Amino acid sequence: MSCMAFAGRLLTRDRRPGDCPPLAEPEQAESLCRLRDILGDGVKNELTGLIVDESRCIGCGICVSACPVHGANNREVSLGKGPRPDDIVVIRIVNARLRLEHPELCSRANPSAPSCRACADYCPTDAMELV
Amino acid sequence: MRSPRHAGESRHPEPLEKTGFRVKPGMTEEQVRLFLRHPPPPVAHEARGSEPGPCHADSLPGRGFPESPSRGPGAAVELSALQLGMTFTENRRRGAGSGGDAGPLSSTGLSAGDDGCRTDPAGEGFAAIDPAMHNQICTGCSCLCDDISFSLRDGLPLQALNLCETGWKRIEPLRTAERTDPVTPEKLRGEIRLAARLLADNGPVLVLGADSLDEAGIRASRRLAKALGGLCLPRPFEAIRRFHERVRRFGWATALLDDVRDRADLVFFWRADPLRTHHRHLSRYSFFARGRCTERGHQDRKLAAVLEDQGPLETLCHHFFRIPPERDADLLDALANPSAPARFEHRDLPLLAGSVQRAAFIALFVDPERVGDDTLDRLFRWSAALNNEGIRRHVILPLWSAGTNMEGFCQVSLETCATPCGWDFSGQGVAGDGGNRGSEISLQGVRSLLLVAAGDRTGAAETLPGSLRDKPRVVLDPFGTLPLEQGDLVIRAALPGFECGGVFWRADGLPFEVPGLKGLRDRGLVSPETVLSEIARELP
Repeated sequence: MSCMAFAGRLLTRDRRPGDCPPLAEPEQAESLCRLRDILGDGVKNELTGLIVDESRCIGCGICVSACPVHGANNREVSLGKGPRPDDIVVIRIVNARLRLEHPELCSRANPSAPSCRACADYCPTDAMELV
Repeated sequence: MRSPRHAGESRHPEPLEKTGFRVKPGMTEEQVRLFLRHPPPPVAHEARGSEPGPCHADSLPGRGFPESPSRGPGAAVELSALQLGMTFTENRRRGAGSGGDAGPLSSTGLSAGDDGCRTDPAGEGFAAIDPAMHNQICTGCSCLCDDISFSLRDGLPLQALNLCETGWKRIEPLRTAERTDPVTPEKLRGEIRLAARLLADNGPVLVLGADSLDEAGIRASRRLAKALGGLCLPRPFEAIRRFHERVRRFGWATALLDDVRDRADLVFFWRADPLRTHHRHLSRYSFFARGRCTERGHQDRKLAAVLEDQGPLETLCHHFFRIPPERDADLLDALANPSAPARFEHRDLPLLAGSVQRAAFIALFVDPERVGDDTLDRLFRWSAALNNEGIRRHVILPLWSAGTNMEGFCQVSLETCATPCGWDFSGQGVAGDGGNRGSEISLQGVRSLLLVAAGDRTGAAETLPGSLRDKPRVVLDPFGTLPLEQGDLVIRAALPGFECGGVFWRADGLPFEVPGLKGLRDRGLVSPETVLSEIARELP
């Protein structure tokens, strides 16, 4: 893959900055750091277009509460609590980090439904991005 | 004036055009799994209804919603046929499992492959993993989140669900095999004797930081201070004194966090940033959670904040004031007297004044350590004025950034000596410096210290007030993180709320009985209450 192609993949979040072998060299550490600051370090989920940068997540659970799928289908989450272990949810907080569990349940996975941006819009630390 | 949407308790599912999703009965969980290619369910987990304590808010009559029915294997999981049909088609085309980067969660933290069998990518083996999920209340901050679930491996926490970064940092010491230096009963007995001799030989002791212990630990701290003729104070004792002085002078309208969730339609954070100190506060109670009169959650609320610095909270606020503390008085005057000529100009001020006029229930969270006397006076006066109008309700809740059991300390102190600021058995009086917001404790006559570490390098010499740095000190460290040279003597203890149980108070003053985490490895550590009681017993 050429550098230009890799750059394109970076912008569409199909690749992470750390996936580039030359960037892993010590003399490129500053460039790698800068790219991570700009682009984050997440990979895009194909179904929803969601990119999660775990390093920025503080586990606040706002994304879980704000998700309209959870609000309509999970009583605990609509009341502010976190989902139970056996609840089927789109996203949950695991070890203080956001984890995308069932992207197929996200309303963005349905191409005919209006696209929803609740989780990324309300994330206070920009740990989530939608492309 | 209330919006008509606030009335009533009917809960209608969101229409299709808003969520792309309509709730439909009829699909069983097995059918859903067949379509979505889920793995088999986890082996067992404790029922959520086994949460501890008769003190729990949701068990009080008339509070909160009735318990939802338990979800057994045959419970209906409601999904739209369109969603399932699309998903099934997508999955068949892709030939993937669930179609996402992250596999479905299993209670053991292992991923599930396409054939539904659990794989073990790390090769860590199944035998040592406890498949049960243990429900626990987090004591990382005063939110006391009661929806945390842990899975354990070899007696160590492996995975925590719904736990924020603050709670995760609190249990970080528990996750390592080498939790602390080896502690044997003989070594502990020797340390306790040394501590008793050190404190007794050096004169009046100051027990500082008991606000991070459970109720039994706080009471043991008091007994020790009394036995030594010393003082037992919380860390921000000056701020507590100032706050409760205003309570006595102006009265205090407050509410439970559940009431804030149910009724508040304007939420204020005054010099308090929950995204720095209480990460889940916004999602659990104050902004995003849905309640009786706030059925759409954040869409039925306005959020305002007054802070000195920019931060992540600004992105969520409808009204954000980034002003220095000296301007608090002008802003409060403008809010309290909207018709008077304002000395405060800000683009958000007219909008905020409008939100105040339209609100029926205003919840104001303040960090008393970060506001001055004048601001506290005005806040309480404003609250009293709004409540006396009879049109809207205004409540004030302190949001302490220090001490996970600050409210517990205040409650125990009030119960025993009618003041919330701690105890002084020295008879010399506490010379608090009221002019600089309690950042300096000037105490005459204190000759030794017993510090309770709070896991963030507290107990380190450089964090102590200048007048106390040279005093001999014993450090009680439940986290096992302080190096031994931090004090003349460092005694390791069990972590309250995880390795040992206790009673903690939530930020709104509601007590919770927190048991120890079941299945956690026993390191031979004793509770802080036991350590303090034994030191008192060993005193000459």
